[in-house]
Amino acid sequence: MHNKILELFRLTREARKQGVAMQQKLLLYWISMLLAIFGVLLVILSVAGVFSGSGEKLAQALSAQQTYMVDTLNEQITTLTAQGIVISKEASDTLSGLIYAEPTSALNDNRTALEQVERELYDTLNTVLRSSACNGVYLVLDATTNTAAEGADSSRAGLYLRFANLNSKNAVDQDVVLYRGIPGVARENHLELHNRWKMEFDISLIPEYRNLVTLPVDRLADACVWTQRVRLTETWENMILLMVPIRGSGGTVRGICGVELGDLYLRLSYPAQESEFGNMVTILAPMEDQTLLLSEGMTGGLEGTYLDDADTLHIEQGRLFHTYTGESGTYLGVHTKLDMKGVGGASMYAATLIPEEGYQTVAAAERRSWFLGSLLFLAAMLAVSVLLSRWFVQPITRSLAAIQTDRFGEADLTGIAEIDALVAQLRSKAQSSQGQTLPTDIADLFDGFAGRATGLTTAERSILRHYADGLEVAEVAEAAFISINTLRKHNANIYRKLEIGSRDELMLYIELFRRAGRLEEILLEPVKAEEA
Amino acid sequence: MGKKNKLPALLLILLLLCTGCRETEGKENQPVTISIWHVYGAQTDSPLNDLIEEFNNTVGKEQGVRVEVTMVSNNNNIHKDILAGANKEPGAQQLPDIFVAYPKTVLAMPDESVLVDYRDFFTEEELAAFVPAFLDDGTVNGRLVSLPVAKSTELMFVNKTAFDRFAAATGASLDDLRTWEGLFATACEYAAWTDAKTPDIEGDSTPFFVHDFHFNYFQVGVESLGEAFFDGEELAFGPVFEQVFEPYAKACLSGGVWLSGGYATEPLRTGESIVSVASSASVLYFSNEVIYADNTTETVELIVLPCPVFENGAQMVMQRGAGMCTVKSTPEREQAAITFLKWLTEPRCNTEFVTGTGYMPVLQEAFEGHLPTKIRELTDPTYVELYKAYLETQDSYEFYTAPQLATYLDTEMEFEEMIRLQMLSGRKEYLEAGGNDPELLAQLAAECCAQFQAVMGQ
Repeated sequence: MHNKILELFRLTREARKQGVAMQQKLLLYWISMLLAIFGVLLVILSVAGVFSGSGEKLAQALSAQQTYMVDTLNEQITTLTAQGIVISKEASDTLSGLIYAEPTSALNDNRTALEQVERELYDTLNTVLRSSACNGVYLVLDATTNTAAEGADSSRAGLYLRFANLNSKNAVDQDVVLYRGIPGVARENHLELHNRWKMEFDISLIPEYRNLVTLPVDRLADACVWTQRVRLTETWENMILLMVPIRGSGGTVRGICGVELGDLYLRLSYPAQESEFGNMVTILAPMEDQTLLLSEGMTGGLEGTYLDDADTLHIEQGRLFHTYTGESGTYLGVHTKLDMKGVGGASMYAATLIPEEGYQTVAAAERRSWFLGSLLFLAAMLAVSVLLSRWFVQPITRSLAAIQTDRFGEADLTGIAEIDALVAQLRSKAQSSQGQTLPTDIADLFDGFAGRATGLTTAERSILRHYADGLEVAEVAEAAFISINTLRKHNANIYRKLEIGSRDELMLYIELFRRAGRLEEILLEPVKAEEA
Repeated sequence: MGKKNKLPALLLILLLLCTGCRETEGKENQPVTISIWHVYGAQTDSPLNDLIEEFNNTVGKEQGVRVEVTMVSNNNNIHKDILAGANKEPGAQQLPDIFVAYPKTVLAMPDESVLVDYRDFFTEEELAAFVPAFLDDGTVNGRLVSLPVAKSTELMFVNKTAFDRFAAATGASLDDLRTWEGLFATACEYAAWTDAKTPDIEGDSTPFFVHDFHFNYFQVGVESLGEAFFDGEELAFGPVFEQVFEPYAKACLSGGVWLSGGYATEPLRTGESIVSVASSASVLYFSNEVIYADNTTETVELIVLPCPVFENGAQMVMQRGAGMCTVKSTPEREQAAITFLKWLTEPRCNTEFVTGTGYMPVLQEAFEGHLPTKIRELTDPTYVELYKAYLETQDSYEFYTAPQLATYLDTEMEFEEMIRLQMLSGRKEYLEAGGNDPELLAQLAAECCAQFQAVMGQ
């Protein structure tokens, strides 16, 4: 092995000694220069963060969507809380108007009074439902129609209105159904009963109900809380409820009221947003030990993802964004705590997530694009190097070839002053040395021939020029626009005047004159005496 | 283009292609999500939603398709949303990729060419698996735009617990409910019986019977007695119409028929009525628990019987069941919708779906192979009753399919509204006149019939 390496070095040294062509050296120079430029470009681009563009861009997209979504959600929550307080105050006023309704339990077994309260509060609930960004409103009074009925302990009268067909735009003509309440209220207002209608609420299904109605309330705004996700009994829908106490005299609580945000409503209101990395989805969920609990929260539209709305997503913090891993896949995103007070002081978080797969695909595609682009750029640069070096070297090599074959007259200008001057000098030297070295009889031969050539007519000289250019007989006739017979006639005159016997002899003379650098003497019109 | 110019141009195209790819790269692996509006389950725990979840987790996941339910409505309301979306009314939702509709809704759309023709997506062999008549129902203007997925018929649901109490007191029999004449006579008796429970309050009878679609009663009744119900796009109002109107009107005027709006299931759940004729699919919305005005509940026995017929008429019953329409969109979305629908109409899925929702399958193989087995496996007594009545209907009844008329939907809605208003007005007049007078009842019934025909003829 060692010997082989030594042999390789030896061969390299030998090759160096043999010399390298000028074009190869120039090509090497160009390539080195362009590679250096390419390297500098790569450094600049990498400093400018172009190569980590996908990550930065994803972070920007997530941040923009998150900011917008959180602002919208916070505004929606604030507005809904305000509407919940409006219902609460209306309910308090209505109940205060019933002198026999203090405490609320006085309404127990009084179906007429309960129906009256429901009828009076229907308009308020209906107005809030139709004018707010929610899909249901409700009111629970801490009293029941029949204390003797089975399950009366957890049964409470009230009114619950929901949209029948959801529409994120909440058109005023949307159909409303009665989910809980006295059917007479529905009939009076031309509402259908919900497919799973019941007359009263089962408060055992309302989180924290008993706590809310037993704790005195000072300020309503402080007492408003949102539940975690609960199932709407016997339906396919999940929801979160805003719960606002209905205050009685002395801070007692007479029931609760609020609004519903259903999962379908949220999906329609917060559809997945398209981005170049895939669809960004909205999550509204509580967090525990760096884990987003989707099963206790809600989601926006999940179009374009396989995210399971009951998944548990473990969060791994990142610099630009975080990674959320669950059974339904891995997602990238950001999350923010919302101004939303949950039951028992729990906090709700809003998150914007995107499937990691989409990001990885884009990042890989970007790497491929960069690789391909760089490769193309490099190939283009190499082609430019070859072209430039050839363009630069070709006239020089042509000149050198002419010098080597003593054909100075045909050497083109290189455009490089020094080389052109050198060629001119060599040409002049060659000419002078030619004049000095030609034997006398040969010089006489040249002079005699040149002298005879002055006797040629303009047409004959033109034909002679064509022969000097290497044209064949037929080509000469065509180039001179004459017939072959006329050409033959001119040929005979030329031969006669120049005292030669054949075209071969003529071509020999032409070649001799060319090599001697005196071709112009026989091809150019002789200067007339008068002109001279 | 010179050879020298070709290279840079090719490089430029290549770079542009690379840039173009960027736009879709992130979405390459994401599923094609299609939306659906349906009516199967309405606000209840929808069996179709469960099947959709199964599809999303199996075939959908394999083929990159995800179906999202964005509306579960009912037959009374979904047409409003479809037509609002099709007409692009302000505030209306955009039509989903798939929606459930009757041909009457498709005919009322401004342009039904926005729907795909399933013959472009299903092979002849695949379509041959469907019951041919069901495919005809879904064909509008020569295009198969509504793919049948489930068919229903009208059946009679009886709160037997309440009926038995009534029968014990009056001698009424369930056999009386086999004919319309018998049913309406029983309704009159029931109204009188309930009214008599509170002698101090006059006219507080409880309706005995509730019908989902009064229009269907008249349509099928008239046709079953051998007369055409429609004359072109208008209602014929021939002599048989009066014959069909008379027992119905007498029961309405006596207070034996529920005349408020809403579905038949409502008054049965509140105990405000005890017998209904409704779609077999209503079984999802019935409850064997009745909640009375004092918030007491009673667990009742709900039985299902074939739809009543006229004594001298043919055994005829309305066949119902909407189909699935697919809105034209991109080839990917259309293909995704077809993938789902083909899965849903496979015999196993189709049987699973229909028996969960109270429908009949639409495939020959499902009828013959899967349905009998599935029926034997049913454990819910109401569903067992339902399919017993269903099979009886299939054996002995002729199915009537509503004609495809562009004005059908409007006519049906107007008829429903006007007949109820007419009968409510007649009932009020009858009560004001003291009620309980057979002659007055017959006279008012005839007057109501004439007035109704005049109103509808305007």
